[in-house]
Amino acid sequence: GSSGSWWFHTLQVRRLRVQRGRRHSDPLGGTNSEDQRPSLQFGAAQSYLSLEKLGEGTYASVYKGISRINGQLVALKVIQIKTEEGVPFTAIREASLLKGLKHANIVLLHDIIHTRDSLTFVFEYVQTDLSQYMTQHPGGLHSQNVRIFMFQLLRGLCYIHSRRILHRDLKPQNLLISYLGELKLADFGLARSKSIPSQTFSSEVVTLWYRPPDVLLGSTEYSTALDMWGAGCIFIEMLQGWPAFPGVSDVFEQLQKIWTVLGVPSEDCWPGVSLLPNYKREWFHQSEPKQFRTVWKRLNQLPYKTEDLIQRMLKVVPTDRISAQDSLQHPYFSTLPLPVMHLRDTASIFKVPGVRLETEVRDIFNPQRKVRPSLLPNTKCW
Amino acid sequence: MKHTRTWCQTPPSATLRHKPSSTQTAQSRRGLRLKRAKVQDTQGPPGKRLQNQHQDEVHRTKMATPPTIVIQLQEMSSYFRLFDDDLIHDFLWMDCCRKMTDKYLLAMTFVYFKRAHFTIAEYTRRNFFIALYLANTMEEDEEESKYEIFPWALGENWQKRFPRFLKQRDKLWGRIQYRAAVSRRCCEEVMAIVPSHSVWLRERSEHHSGARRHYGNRDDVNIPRGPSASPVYCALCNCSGRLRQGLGSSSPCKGFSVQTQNNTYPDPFPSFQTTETTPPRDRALYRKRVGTKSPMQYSSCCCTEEVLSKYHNGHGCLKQPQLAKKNNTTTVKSQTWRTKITLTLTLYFQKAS
Repeated sequence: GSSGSWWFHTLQVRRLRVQRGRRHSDPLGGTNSEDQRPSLQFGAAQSYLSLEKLGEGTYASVYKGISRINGQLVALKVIQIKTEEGVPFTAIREASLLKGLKHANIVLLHDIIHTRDSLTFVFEYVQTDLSQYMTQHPGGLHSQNVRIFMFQLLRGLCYIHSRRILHRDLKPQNLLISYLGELKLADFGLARSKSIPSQTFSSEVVTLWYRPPDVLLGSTEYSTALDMWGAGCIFIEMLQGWPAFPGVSDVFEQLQKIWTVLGVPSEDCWPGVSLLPNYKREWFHQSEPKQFRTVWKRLNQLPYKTEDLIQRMLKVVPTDRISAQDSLQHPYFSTLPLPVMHLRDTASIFKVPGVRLETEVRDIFNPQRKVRPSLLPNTKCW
Repeated sequence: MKHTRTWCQTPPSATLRHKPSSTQTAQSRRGLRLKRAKVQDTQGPPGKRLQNQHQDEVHRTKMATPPTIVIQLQEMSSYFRLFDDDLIHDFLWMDCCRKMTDKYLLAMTFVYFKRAHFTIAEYTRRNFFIALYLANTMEEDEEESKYEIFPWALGENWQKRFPRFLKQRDKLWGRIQYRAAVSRRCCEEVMAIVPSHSVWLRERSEHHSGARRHYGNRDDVNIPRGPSASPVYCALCNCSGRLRQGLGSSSPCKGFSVQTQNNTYPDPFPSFQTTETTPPRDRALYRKRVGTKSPMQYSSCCCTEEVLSKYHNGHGCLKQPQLAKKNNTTTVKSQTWRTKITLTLTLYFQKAS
């Protein structure tokens, strides 16, 4: 139930001028909360002014909006309620989970407006997403920026995983990026709590490219390692500027892509693998594992610890995959200022002095800028 | 005189202080609360948060501990009494694989009652089904199982009535502040109040959990089947068509022991007799029902008559304030419905034998 372009934003946000005085109240005047008019309450539709449409998904439309309560920009996710369905279960889960999550790297759900025919989630407004960011800066991102994004992604995952919540739909479109570079996990429509042990789980989760081999094989159990595989894929995509395992149409092709790099798992390293529903005998010994740097060439230009962390995230056997918590302690992040390790949940990494995004080497909105060719990552490997 | 008691274990001392429930309700009705307690609250109802804040003024040390649910004895017993309702009883019996009604989902249902600040009068069959449906919506990726709730909750015209039922589910979701997520720990603490109660013995077997989705020939089975049909035969549980057992017996595939069966309806509150608030008359009725539903009588075909007469008389049916308020026709209608079930059941049993 997610759509890639919902969060697309045209970068004009900072240039946006709100027409003042359109109604009898000033939409930006209420920054002081004591100014709140009594009629403007949370949970009420008239408290928000809808601006342009940002995107359309399978079960919701997303609009940019302004809170008339405090003048903040918001994203309004409007879900139509069908008589035969009631509120879609994805919406029930998303809001129920997000209500319990307060973290700098999780999108903030401000408010819910529930009317007879529609349900509107009011989110904090975030300017763009990682997919758009990578489109704007093709050919791989600045290695320091990749580190900052990865740290925030893993910090967000660590937070939800500690609450036994799986995101289950990690992909660049669902990672919102603010103009500062703050990364926020969004679209919890497929997310669910895995705290209760025996409940049923769908294997139809995660967009194919970011789906781990165990789930592709039809494994009956998955846990937090599911999200870690997706995070590893996104890690490579940020470095390379291209998805790690892209361009396939079905589960078997997707597995084949993974085996090409990681080798086919054997019963020795993964007891029980040959019993999984989608396992094929003819795969056996088909390919040997490759060194990541020979497949993803950008790794050649970076210190070994980058490749090491990726290797720990992209393990075929789910139980071998590094946890979000452990990955934050990996030497790859040791170049970040130490205080980033001790932030309270709601504090942004950018509060720490010295943490800031570097200018990306390529920018399609500023093509005339000169860039030294040696800084460009190798993008020809695919 | 109001007896309150803290059931949850963390922190044990916090529970004895209890704000009048009227205050809680008033607070919770004030609409969506945006200002939230800093403490991560995955468990308690919003009113409880306030209560904790209140307590924290007195006991600063409790700031670090997560809030707990304060459950009044009457609420727990009223919830348990729902399972004496014949329809709910049979509904749980029909779900022998525990796909809709395992112990966690039933604990979540109770937590929703608490979060919604239901009055005792609202502990009804209808609200039970609505909350249970919401719990299934939240927790189960297998979507179809829960549709079985419709014919049980709504009767034979369920196809016409279910949109309204879904509206009520959504309304309940709003009433619990859109917080349908319940942590495992919270479920377990609810169950720990009366751990021996039969509903908390409703473990789901492993073959009905995880991401495994297809078991049995789904195409052959009409979903939902409703009260008038036999339960779906499950080869893995080997559990259909065996009329038996109280609602809380352990997994049928493991067989059932006499001991377990005798404990199906234990006195739920052996240690709380002094604070018991159930009126003596209800209590007697409760005991009586326990007596008539001895699972031993259900263990073979002779239960047929038992089941039929139970439906026919309409005894043991929970009082439903909402229904009673409306008018007589509702009652008559539901009687007709029950009679029809009786007939269908008769046909079913004739076929079977």
